[in-house]
Amino acid sequence: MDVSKFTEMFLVEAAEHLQMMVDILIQLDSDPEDRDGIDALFREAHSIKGMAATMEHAETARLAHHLEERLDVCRHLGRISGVEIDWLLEAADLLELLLSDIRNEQPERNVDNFIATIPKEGESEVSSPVEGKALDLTGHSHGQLIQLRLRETVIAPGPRFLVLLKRLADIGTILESIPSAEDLIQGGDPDQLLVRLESDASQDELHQELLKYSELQEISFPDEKEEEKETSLKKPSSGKTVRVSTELLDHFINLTGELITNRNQLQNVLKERNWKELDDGIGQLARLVKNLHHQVLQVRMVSLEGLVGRLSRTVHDLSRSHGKEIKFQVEGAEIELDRAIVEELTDPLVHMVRNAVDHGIEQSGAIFVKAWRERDQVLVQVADDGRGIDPEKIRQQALEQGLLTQTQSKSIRDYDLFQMICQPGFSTAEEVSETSGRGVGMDVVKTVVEQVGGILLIDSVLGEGTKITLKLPLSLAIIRVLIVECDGSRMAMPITRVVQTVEISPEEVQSSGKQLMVHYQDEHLPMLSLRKILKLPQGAPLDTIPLVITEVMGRKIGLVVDRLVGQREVFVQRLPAPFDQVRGCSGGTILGDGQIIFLLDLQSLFERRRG
Amino acid sequence: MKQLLPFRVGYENYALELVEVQEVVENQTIYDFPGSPKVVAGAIGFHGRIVPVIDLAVLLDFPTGKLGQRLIVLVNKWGPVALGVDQVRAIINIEINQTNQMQNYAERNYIRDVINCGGEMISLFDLDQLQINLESLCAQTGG
Repeated sequence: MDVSKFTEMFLVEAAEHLQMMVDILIQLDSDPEDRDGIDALFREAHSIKGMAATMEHAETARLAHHLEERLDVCRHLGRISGVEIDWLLEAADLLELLLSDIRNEQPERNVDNFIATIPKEGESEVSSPVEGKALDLTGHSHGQLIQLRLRETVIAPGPRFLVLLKRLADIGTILESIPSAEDLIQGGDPDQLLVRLESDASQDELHQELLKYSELQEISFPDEKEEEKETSLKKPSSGKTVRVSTELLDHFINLTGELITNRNQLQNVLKERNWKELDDGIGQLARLVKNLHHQVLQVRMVSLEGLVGRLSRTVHDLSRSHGKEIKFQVEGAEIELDRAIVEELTDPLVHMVRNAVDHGIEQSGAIFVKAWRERDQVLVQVADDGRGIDPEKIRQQALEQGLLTQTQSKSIRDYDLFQMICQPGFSTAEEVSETSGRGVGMDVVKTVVEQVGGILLIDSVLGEGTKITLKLPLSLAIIRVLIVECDGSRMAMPITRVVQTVEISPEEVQSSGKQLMVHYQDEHLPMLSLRKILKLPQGAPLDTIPLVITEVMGRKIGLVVDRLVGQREVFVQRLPAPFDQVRGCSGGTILGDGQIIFLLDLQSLFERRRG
Repeated sequence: MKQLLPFRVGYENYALELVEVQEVVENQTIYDFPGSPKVVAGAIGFHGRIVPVIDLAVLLDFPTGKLGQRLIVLVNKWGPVALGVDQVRAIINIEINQTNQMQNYAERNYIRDVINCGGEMISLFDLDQLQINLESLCAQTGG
């Protein structure tokens, strides 16, 4: 018997039950006496236990059984405490690790240690708002963990670290350090120093003290538990299997049946050379293919619900560990998107929510995640009512890092300023201390969003909050495009990027300095030539100038092309590596007549021009 | 015994091992690939897939002619890609050994080995090097 097939199935199903458990737990957090919720939770644990036992994954089954017993008690009490919820969330994390062990064909890790812990009621240790203490108690051992990195320009890191270590010894007791003082005396120039310090000083005081040393590049206080969690969440490979409802499958069977009939009809037409019927048959075929395409697309669509579950978990965990009171509201979780896009978006959205908790909200506030459809696009927005981004601070920082010149910094619009936080390596001083070592930054968020053909917009009002909106295509594979012609070859751009197409006469072109402008709906838009952008030879002057009004980097422009060809729905192929790296081109499509048309990625073309 | 597919670019004779070749196609329309590096002449449609075409004359610094007459489509291991060459010749079977191997000549770019094939020098084209260089060329298009 081929067990591997069943293992795959087990992993997928167990992961679903686990996600369900986490979702329910988060809900119970706001309504701890929801009996139905507790019952459902019990059933999920029970399912995992049963499945794991059948597959002979002993440790997983043992842990699930333990949870089940615990939940049985809750069932009888009719309520669940916050401490128990946190304990169960921890258990869910452990279960996830166990599943990844099974996936990696490693022996399951032992769960004895966890089973020995019992959620204690009455002692609200985990939810204690005193941050420093909470860390001490939840950590594996005593002491505060401090991670230090020196600037690259420091010539002798070894002795520098030794001095820092001595200074820390004055503030508290050094329990251990990597490398140790002995190692440092012996020589060697490590790139970082990890110290476990027992001290009366709070994390903030320690931080203040360490800031006095200008040679330090990075000071962070890693929370061991959190690190473990982060790596565990990344491990599961994105599922290779898809669940399809039987209803949809029936549709497919019916369609296949109709297609077979259609084929017979066409074969008959060919035999009898009955050309009248041919037209009919082809029309039928077109309808069937369209239908099939629609249904297949449906299989690829998933709602944002699973993703939102992850986000509410993130907010829950972070607000506890930061001692902040945060309301999390979701709207439009039922909106569906191509599965590939949703998978790509998970990490960026988690990061955006983290940012909102870390930098946006001060003590208490709300985070809103909203999704809605607008024509062929889906918009996903993460908003908070926190302190907002200070454009002045970004301006200062950009000047210091040499990303802007003095004159640029005066004329730059807030929109472009906010976009600067997406530059790799850009961060305001505050951010360095609070989020260092926190996985993806805004630059990664932006890259991912643009890779799937979307755009990222940042809007913030100081003191009122920040809104980050992602505009995304519904599907990666089949999209509507506008086809244009330029220097004899045809190319396309996603219709989602096109505001409008117009044809203007040369008299309508105005010039402002070197830049040609055109008047469009009460605005003066810069006119740019696609030939010039693509470094193609200049074309002959035209009687009417075809313009594509489009938006790049948040600004409307008029893109001059040779000819507007038309709109079309196309199946986009991603280009094989390494050609997918080519900037300015995000894929291609083969039309019915064999013509190949490439998809222009205007955003990256313009970035190339700027850079 | 190895089977080689010899071809000509400029005034040089090159060859690929037959196992690296998927198909030789002729008289194809090559469509422009906007934003691509200069060595990429465009792309062809090949069994429903978009296959980028490398102009070997540009890559190897030979005068360029009309492209598309003879294209060698490589096996999928090389990610679908086609090489534009001037002329494709008949397959040869050859035992490569020390007597006909002339490694000293193999110091130029994109040449893995030079073989003396009955008095004629044939350079074995180095696909590994091509792949590495393509990667860096495509990544550089941002600059």
